[in-house]
Amino acid sequence: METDFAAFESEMESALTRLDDLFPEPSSESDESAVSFDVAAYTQVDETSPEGQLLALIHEAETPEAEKPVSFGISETVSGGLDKAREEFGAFMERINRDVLNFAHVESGTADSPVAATRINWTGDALTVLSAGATPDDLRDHSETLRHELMSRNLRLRMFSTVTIAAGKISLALTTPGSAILALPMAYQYVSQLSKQWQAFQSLNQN
Amino acid sequence: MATPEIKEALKNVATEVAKYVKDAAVLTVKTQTVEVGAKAEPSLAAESTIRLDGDSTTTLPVSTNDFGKSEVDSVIYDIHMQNVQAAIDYRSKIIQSVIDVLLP
Repeated sequence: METDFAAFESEMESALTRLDDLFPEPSSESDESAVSFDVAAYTQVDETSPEGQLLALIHEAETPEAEKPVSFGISETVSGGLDKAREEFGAFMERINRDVLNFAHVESGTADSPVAATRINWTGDALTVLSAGATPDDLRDHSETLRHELMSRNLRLRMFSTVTIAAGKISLALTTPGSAILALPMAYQYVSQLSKQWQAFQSLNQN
Repeated sequence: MATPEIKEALKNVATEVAKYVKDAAVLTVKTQTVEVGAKAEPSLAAESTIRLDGDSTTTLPVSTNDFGKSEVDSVIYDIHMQNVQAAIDYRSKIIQSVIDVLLP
């Protein structure tokens, strides 16, 4: 299924709105310390929802090491959700780094019979080399492949900007010193879970 | 990826994002043609330069038709303009994401 950028954009906006609902900003009259995370305040959130899983990660990060349940090894906890989130965010960051440090390179045709090649850097400067024998259909296919590659890059960067904004909101709920950096993997997991839910919902509607 | 590596990856992206703002003033799209199998270098067929202030320049190939008039090669023109549009769309969306990262 072709991803629609406008739909993705609205998914990302909605992720941030839902996060605002989860962590409402304290009113000016209330005590500022009310921002800190309070498990009891969120008991009505469905544990399996993206919000529920985010709260579980926050709880895991806020729980002192000594109080964490140990299952197999000295530092291996039963849930391990935070480790998984960190690993997945790491893979995403590697991809983003590749996008911003390298050219997008799209080639069409075969090694024996190349049709076209386009190299485009992340600021958009593009160089296309066309084979003299390429037909209009070949060139249309090449343009379509290029468009798809650029769309993928745009979507990843849009997701990255959403994750950084979401991490800023989540970090307000983290009180343990040094845990703010963990807001990024948590935000990534939250946003990607919401995105998966939307995609599943869309494919249900299309079937 | 451990926490120090996440910090390093973020630093790399932040550096590239800052550099992006400097490099974003001009967008250049070039289209070249080449004879497959020949050892000739690709030759420039069309080039567009679009500046942030809105000025843009496009150089297109023309040939003289049977009536002695110059006409643009429509196949090259179409693919080049598609590439220009793709580059503009790509850049505008990237700029929006960069703004979101820098000014959330």
